[in-house]
Amino acid sequence: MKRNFLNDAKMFQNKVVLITGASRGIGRDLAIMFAKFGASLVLNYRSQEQEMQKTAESLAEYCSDSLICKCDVSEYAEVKEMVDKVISQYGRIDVLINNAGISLPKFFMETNEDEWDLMIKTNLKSLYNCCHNILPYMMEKRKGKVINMSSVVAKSGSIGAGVHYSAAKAGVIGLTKALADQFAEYGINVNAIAPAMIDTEMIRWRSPELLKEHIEKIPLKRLGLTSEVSGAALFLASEYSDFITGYTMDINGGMYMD
Amino acid sequence: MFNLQGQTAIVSGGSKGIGNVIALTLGLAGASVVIADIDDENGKKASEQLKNNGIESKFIFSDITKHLHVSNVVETALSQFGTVDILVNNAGILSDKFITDITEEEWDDMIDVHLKGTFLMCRAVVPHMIQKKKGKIINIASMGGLQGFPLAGVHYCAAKGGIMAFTRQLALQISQYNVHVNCVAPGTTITEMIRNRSEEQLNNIKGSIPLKRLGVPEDTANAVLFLASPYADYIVGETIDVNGGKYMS
Repeated sequence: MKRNFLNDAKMFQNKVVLITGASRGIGRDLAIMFAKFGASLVLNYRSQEQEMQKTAESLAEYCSDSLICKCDVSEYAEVKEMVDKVISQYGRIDVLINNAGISLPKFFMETNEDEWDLMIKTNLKSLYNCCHNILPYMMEKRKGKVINMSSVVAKSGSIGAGVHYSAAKAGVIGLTKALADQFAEYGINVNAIAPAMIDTEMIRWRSPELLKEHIEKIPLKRLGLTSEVSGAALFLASEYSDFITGYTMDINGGMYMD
Repeated sequence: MFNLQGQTAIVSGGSKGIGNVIALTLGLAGASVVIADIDDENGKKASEQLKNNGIESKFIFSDITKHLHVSNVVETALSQFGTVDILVNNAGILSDKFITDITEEEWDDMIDVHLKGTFLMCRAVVPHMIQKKKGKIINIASMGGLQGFPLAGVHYCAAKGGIMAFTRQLALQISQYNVHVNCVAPGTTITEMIRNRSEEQLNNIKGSIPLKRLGVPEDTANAVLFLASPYADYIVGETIDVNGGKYMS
């Protein structure tokens, strides 16, 4: 194990890191964080062309090696096509970060069946699609790191977040544990991150008053920064966490402690 | 990736085992490290070892179950280094005695070293951290505090479970001052503490761990380093499981 903490800025050099939903929010910050540490990046997005462009521009100073892949990760065939492309270009994927997701904050009785299906497909089935297509390449190398974005509401429930969102994000944790168990023997670590109240557009459905009220309830009395999620992902993707698997890291300012 | 330059850490039980590697790890990331330990001989050695690695370090003999010893540790650290930014409550003892073999004295000792020690150290350091509006407290719990644990006594597991409850409650109370309190819960880790285990016992444990190996002190120390770093600044009241997938909370 290398333990040169003050001089490991190129820790992810020659590593291929695939980030889904990288056009904005936490995904954008993940891209920047891994770029700073020398990774070759595969950045996936579905529809936010302009935002993706902005991410690419903010990376440019750190990263000369990135591949942008437009695809809907909730569609198996599209993911397969993306992975084939990545493998033909790089021959490997070392780190997979399942970050893409949607949030439809609505009262349960106001959601319809289509919205339920869309939520489960986008926030849970997408993980099946990506893992099922990418894990074989990690198995080949007998090494790999998978990081799945869950959410505090998977554990805590929430009046604000949708029931379907909470259910899908709880599914992410179950998937993480089961995959961790099955793939440990191949040297693959699978972990999840359960953030809450990170300062992105996704939390902006609240009125300023309501947001203030919610921040007051957080023990740290502030919103989280996207870098406080991407920093955790960096640790979980690094060799410093090689003995951690099946774990869900809570990043929530103390809002929920289990 | 991690830079703790300009910061001072206190590591209790830093003379041997996991604590020793935590001290070295924080030091390699740039921190000055105070080792507080009841083991005079190994404590001095550990501090010398850090210095040989270019790390500013001091050993302070102390029994952390005694409040006068604990205030001496914190006061000495503050007067010598001017600040305490990181406190790692690592000191601990392990016993695998069956309940009927545990004497009352052994029970008290187990609870005192883990829980009272953690309490006294935190009580001594927290005012300084609150005043600075900055601090990281990292408590070393154990998988034994989360689930049944092979080769550990009920007193050990109770103490380790208590450390996690203590952590959450202290986090709830002092997060508002930007003081972060978290835990790391290692699974079975190769140290002197398990030296009396038979190879067969260790192989059985290894076989039950998804990653098919025992932990090494570096595994825990790296998680401590992460929690001490700014990357973990939105994490409080959390326990990082470092157990090879044996227990997934």
